[in-house]
Amino acid sequence: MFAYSTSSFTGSTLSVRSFSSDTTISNAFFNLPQNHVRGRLHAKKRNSQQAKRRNKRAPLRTHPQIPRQMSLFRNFFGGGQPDDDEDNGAEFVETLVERVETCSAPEDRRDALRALKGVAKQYRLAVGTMGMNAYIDVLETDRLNSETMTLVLDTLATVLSADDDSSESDELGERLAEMMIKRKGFIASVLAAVDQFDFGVRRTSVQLLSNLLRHRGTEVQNAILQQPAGLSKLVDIIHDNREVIRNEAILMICELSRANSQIQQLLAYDNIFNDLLNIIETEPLDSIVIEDCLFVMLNLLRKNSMNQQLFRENQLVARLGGILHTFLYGHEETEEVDVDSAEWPKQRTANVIFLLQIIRTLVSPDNNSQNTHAAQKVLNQTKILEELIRVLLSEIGASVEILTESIIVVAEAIRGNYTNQELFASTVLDNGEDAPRSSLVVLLISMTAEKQTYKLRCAVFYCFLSYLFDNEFGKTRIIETLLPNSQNQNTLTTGALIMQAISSAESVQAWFGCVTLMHCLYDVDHLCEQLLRVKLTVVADQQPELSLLDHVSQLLISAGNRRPQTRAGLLMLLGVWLQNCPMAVSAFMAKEDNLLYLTTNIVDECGEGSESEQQALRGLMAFVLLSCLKNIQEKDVRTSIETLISRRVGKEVVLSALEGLSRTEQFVRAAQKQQPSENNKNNLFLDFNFVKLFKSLEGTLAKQLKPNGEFNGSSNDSIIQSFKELIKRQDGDIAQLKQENKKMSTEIEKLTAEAQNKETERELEQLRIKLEESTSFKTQTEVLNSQLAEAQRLTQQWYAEAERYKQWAQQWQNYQLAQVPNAAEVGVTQLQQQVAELEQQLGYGYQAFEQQSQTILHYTAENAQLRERLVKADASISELTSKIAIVNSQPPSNGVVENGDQKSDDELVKLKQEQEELLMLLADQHNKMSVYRRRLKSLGQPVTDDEDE
Amino acid sequence: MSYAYLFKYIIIGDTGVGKSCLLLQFTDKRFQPVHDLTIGVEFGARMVTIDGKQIKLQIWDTAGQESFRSITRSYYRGAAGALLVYDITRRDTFNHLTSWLEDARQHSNSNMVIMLIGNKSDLEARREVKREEGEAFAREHGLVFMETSAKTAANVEEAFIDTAKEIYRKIQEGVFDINNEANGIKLGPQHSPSSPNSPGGNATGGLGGGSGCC
Repeated sequence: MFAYSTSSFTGSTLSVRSFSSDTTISNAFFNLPQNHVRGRLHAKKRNSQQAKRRNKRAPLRTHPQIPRQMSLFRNFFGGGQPDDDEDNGAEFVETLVERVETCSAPEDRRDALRALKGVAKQYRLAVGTMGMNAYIDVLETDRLNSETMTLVLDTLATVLSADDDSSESDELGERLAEMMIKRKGFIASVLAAVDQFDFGVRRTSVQLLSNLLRHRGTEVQNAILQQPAGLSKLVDIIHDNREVIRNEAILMICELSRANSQIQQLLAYDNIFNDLLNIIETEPLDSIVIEDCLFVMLNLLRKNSMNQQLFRENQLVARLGGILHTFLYGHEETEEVDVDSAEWPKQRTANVIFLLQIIRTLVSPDNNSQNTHAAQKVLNQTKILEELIRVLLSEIGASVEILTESIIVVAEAIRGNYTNQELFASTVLDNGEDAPRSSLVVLLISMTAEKQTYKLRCAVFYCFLSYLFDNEFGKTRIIETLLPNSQNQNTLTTGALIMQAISSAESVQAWFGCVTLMHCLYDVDHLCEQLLRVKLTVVADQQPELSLLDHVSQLLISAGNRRPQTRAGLLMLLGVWLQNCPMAVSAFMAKEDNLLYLTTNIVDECGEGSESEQQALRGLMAFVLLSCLKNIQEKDVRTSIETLISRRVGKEVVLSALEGLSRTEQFVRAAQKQQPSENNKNNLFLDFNFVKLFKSLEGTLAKQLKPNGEFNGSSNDSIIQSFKELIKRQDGDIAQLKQENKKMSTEIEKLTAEAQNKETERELEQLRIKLEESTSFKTQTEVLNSQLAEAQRLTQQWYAEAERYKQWAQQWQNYQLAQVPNAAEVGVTQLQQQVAELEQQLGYGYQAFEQQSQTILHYTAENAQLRERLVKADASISELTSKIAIVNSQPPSNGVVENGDQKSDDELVKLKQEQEELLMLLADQHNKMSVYRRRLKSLGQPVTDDEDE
Repeated sequence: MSYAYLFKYIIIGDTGVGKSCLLLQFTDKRFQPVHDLTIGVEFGARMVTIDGKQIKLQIWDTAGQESFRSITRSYYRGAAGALLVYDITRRDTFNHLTSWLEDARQHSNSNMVIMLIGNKSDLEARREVKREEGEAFAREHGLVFMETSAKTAANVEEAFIDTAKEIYRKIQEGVFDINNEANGIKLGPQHSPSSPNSPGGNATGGLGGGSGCC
């Protein structure tokens, strides 16, 4: 493998790098099972959430990080040009794909596939698109080769998953998934792969399916539905006893169970609830797998009434209750000690919250009422409600999140169900200190406790409202605690707590209080009158007694144009209180200040709060004003107030304020959900039920001021009317447009026909012109042809003539030759002359050559002579020198000798002179010799080395 | 209510033959004359007693329309019994039985008990398919046969209960693997889960604990 790979991408550094990544990954792949087991054990020991998630869910997802590290490496060294790599990727991938497609040896194919898998993360697009045919081919024809199958499935799964774990849309993945699904039989192939027992094939195919579902959920869901028993097979994998695969399967079903009620029903039909609950019961309490299971269940139950029905029908709610109990109190035999320990692991808390959300889904107000009611009953029967109420009232080490979620579940479990409401209200907290407190009192205490988290207080508030919902008896009982004859002066009552909240300086608390009291009065008219009897002794020393109504209106007036949230609460309370209760209206109108406040503040443009809040407040004031007007019995008072309104404020202003309310964002937000917004306490402004009441009354209230005029508020009739008009208008428009369209289209047809006619005419014209042209061409060519023929004829004539002339010329030559009889001899003599000339020249050359060789000979002889002379001279010199030596050695005994000496001295001088001359001569001779030698050489005469010397 | 077994049934057949009405008659003992198209799948449940044992029947009523065919097909595998219904006043619904049967045999487990039901027996005047024809078809394909009326409730109980008896007989013979829920049979809870024990009352109060306000 190594040799092959390297040889095929020699030279490029990229390929070497990629190749190394390939080997690392394949090693990782081979080590996989052991790694996983280790990881699994590790995860159990560790508490680290993230590590556990990664190890348990997808142990292999870590490996493609290797190429990423490499790219980092490359960026570090390569000066950061990742774009180049992208380009190179295509080329590189192409080679690999080519190998997969063309190699006949299975090992080579496999190696190429492995290399592709290695770079799949890096070059998602290239690997995904270029190799698609090859992958499909493997999936369809290589099913039995589990190693190849695993590689291909893993590659496909990898190209579909984005680098980062962020859930942001991954356009590339989406496009690739779309491309895969479009292949005929692709999903069937993947499902067939899922059906294989081999570990790698099954694991990777499930992962691939998850990724496909993540990107193109609906299409994949439909494709799976088209396969007979396709879905049941997927459910079957949950039973796989290899935990990795089981967990992957759960993750896949998380995706599969989204937003498709048919799939959801089928999953439920295939007993998936049972399977999931079985898994939940065997996993440790802080296992993330439990969260995944619960997530699937939540998907299957949310807004799916048939599944909810089936869930109850199969008595699974009771099992859920058992699991909840285990979660809250631990496994009885083993973890008894842990109950008191302060903190739960985060995952355990998350699991409990999911569990609570499932219970909540069963009783959600979003369900149809029949389902919700049945589920509420079951929660009562299975004692889950009781258990949850206990969670609210007792310390079990649960976090505030769990407490909050439990309160919301209780809220929806009791909402509108009298039995459950009573069960809730009758539960008592006995902490042994004071008198036992009812759960309602406990709730209100939390609601008024500023130190509690807002979410918890909001949940508590929601729970209290749910207790009041459709519960006249409960409402009455709370109002009764406020009445003077109430017995329990010393104990903390619900009424007192509500009063305390209303008077609170904390804005949101005051709002909670107002809305709570408002809900007590909502839909129960006789309680409005009852409430008028309430006297407060808040400021005991100053005034004897103050009615609650006066207190409320005083709070409103004292708030001036500040505290918008509180004022909204107070105005809503007043609006409901005054609605069907003339007594309350009279009491309210009796105080001049109240009317004055309303009429002045309704035109106030510079109060506290956002513009939208101010608009909502003006609407509320208009609502209260008009409610008063509506419920005044005495005609005189009524007309006087009417004139007061039109004089001080103006009818239009009041009407527009009323209409403005339904246009505020506060109104829209409140109308959406029964549960108050739990995100931001400043978002609490209007109440769901108040909004409902407002919608039903808006029309009637507005009509008081303009009995004949049309009303354009938000009331359904007027909206429908306006829509009808709009539709009518649009209908007219459509009809008109249709007609126009028809006209246009006929016109267009006509025009096109005309245009076509014109076109054809023009074409015809052109053709005609062309025809003419061609005919003219034809005649021209004919002319030319004839000319050509003429020319050819002429040339032939000329040729003939030329031939004739040639003949003549030949004849003439022959004749001339005939005239000169020895023509050849003339040429020969001429040539002979030339030869002689040349021979003469040659002779001269020879002569010169001979002369020169003679001179050379001469010089050689001379040379020899000179040498001889030289030798002689040398000999005489040596003779002389020896003589001199003798002479010198003879002692100068006599004069003769002296004379002789003298003589010899002269002789020596002479000889020396002679010798010098000889040397000069010699040198001269030598020069001459060399000159001659050169000349000889140039004349081509061989010169021996001897002579050279 | 605890039960010894739970059997899953499916009801199949052309649209408008009265599948939903049969179910309604069996579970609620009432008849709804207005045809309300079933979308996808619906289900109902009822307890019956066979051989002194409480058996819960969970009946899945499928949509007969062709467009839902691929979805309803997915329900075959998990069912222990099937009621294949035709309308005796509409010959075409009888003619389609072969294709329904093929489908069911292909996608269900081989032991599924199939009961052939000729519904609307109260409309004798408009009968198009003779009783003998239904019997012959059932004999030929090894099915149990019955004519019923969801309107008058004639034979409705029997149709469901006889199917259950047949499944029960197969269980006794050991033909069904009752431990595999995918066969549409589930063992009842041996001992219904006891209600969770109450926690000790030594708590200091979850919400009550925060009573230090004002």
